[in-house]
Amino acid sequence: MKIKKCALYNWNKWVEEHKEKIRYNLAMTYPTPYNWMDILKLFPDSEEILHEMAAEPIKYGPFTGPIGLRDEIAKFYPGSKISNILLTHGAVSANDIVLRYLHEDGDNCVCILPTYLQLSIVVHYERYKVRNVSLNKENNYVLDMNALRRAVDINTKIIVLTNPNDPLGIVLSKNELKEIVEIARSVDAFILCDEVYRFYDYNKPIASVFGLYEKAIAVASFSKILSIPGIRVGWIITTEEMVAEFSNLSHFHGRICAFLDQNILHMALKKYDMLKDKNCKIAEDNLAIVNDWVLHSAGLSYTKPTGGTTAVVSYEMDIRSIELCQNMLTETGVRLIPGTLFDLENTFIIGLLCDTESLTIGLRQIAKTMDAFKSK
Amino acid sequence: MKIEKSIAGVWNHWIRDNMHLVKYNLGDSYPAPQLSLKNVLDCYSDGESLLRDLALSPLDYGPHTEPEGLREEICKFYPSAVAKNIVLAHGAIAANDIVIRSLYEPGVNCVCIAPAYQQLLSSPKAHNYGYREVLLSYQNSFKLDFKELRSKVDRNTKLIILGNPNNPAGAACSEKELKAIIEIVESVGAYILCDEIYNIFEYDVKIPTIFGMYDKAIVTNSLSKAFGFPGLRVGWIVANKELAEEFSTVRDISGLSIGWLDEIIAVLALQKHDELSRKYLKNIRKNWELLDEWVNRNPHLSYVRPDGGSVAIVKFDFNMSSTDFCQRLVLEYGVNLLPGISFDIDDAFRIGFTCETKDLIKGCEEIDKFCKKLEETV
Repeated sequence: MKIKKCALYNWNKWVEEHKEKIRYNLAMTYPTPYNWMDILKLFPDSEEILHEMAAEPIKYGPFTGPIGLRDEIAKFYPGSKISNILLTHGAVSANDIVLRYLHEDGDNCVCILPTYLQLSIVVHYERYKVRNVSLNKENNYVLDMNALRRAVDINTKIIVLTNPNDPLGIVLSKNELKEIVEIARSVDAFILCDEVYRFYDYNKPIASVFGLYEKAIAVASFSKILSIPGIRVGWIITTEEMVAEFSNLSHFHGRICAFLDQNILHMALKKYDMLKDKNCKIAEDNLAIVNDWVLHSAGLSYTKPTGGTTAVVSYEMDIRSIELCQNMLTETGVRLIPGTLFDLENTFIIGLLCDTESLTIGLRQIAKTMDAFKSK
Repeated sequence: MKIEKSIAGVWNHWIRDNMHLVKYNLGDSYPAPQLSLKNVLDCYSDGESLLRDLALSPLDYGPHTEPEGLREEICKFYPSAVAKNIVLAHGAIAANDIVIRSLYEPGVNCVCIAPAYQQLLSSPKAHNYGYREVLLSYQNSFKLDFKELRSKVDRNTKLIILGNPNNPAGAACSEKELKAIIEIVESVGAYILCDEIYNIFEYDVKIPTIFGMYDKAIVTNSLSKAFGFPGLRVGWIVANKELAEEFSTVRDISGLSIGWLDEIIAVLALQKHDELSRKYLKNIRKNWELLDEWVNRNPHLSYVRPDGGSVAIVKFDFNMSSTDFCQRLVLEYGVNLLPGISFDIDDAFRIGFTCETKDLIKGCEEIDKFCKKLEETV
């Protein structure tokens, strides 16, 4: 089936073409990535370990990853076992496997919008009849359970959502997740919850759908929280039976993760607490700055995120957000993410993992640009 | 999606629990002992400084518009290709998956040449292509029956899939044969997906790439087999620019970029491919010759000598399933093979000859002993 490049791709391409103009990158949804040496330096004998790892044959390794890796992941899901986990090439691959495998002719799916763009592209590509339930600014992006109830029917194969919401950063509570479970159960539908930002929880742990329902499937990776997205390791976590079924597709989809990358991840996980605290603190500190700024800026508003790494800011000016963000980049060097990409018109999105100095100056530049617009 | 279970996966599951019994592993198709990053760096005079650079590279997603470095290295193996013809993917499995998935449309059929790596047969079925098979038969020395191919292709045929050389039989299509396939396929405007992952393992017959012979010819390959680096998960598709663009979009929604570190290592490895492969290619060729002598000596075994690749299908004349044969061989003699049932050939095993020569010799000796025992009992 023919597929075109999506709006996000085109946006990123445009940004790349103008990258030498970027002075303040306020679009960082994860911190500046670590490198291999950064991870090793957290241990004594880093040089020795580096050479040891370099001397290891680059083999397939077990399908289930290095021994101990799934055990590490299982720690984040109380009550889970390693047989509940299927490793994939990043969360992107996990989402794709789930949606492809479950699809049958005639199925519909219900997507809670806004959402991570890959999810909405894949459900259309896989020919689900797509029904959208949107989170609305007017009621602070609280999920309307009645709207969700009306959207599902006996042909609903799956409810697709992100938690925390990408890009809103709104978190569904355990009770809300349980309500979604009841709605899914009423039509025997699966739930796919992309929880890639779950670890950015601003000190209030965020519940996973895993374990709440036998047809609940959670997807995640350590790419954002540990800031090593280039290792391409993610996972699906669900019942053992479903893991066995998804494995069938995984065998013909990409199978094993890269050997060296899994080993580097395994090492990084030994320092998870330290790395998590460090990265979360950046998000927290920056969110405090953004919060203060929005509250004191005329013409701006937002619903404060309680999870994730992005803040979606609404503005009152009459200009499309792509145009605004292009202007911001070319005139002031500030990089933002246009809300248009998520059908959130009249918003721009700030990625909270930039460095604090860039953020402070960047916000000032945004204010100046907006003032200039208003006075036109 | 209805998808068949991986049959080789069943064996792999069983062997995982019995690996400690294996003394001679003749089940794999990639070079052993396997190469490390250090092996690659040792080919460079500034290897230590390269390691440092690698260790200091940010573990980020690849740059959004793919850097050309790796794709340009890959181009060197395809005389008529440029970087824009190459799409990177997580191994040849992902490469094949992207092609098969992208080309599907309701109402089309796919003609698959069997036996084959199971994905190449199961994946089109799972994607709802009308499934048609052309079987390469042992009786016909695994040669392609062009009449049969012609009879299976019609105007709804979207895709023909083959491996060149074939896994598991090792039969290879020459340039002339590839052109004959193209002629049949061209008439209905179908695409050809040719999995060339073993084509560097060639012996007396040259095995050309099909890329460039036909605008709708698509090639997949990876670093996992003939290039010697299965754990990098670096594969690729070679196709015309329009197709390549579409495939890269499907790749973006199914896995995004390949590992950044793996990509850099891949460039370093490919630049020194001749040096890295020289040793094992020589070894594998020697093994190919020894294998032939051995099969010809053992009265219970017969095979069609592979033109290329690193594996062969060997028939045995005992009245037992291939799984039984192979399980007993592991449990009683410590030799690992792949049961032929993985390729729907239940009176055979697939033997890989990429191991060290001494292991091949010893392993074959043990198989001889097993055959002798079976002679007396079965």
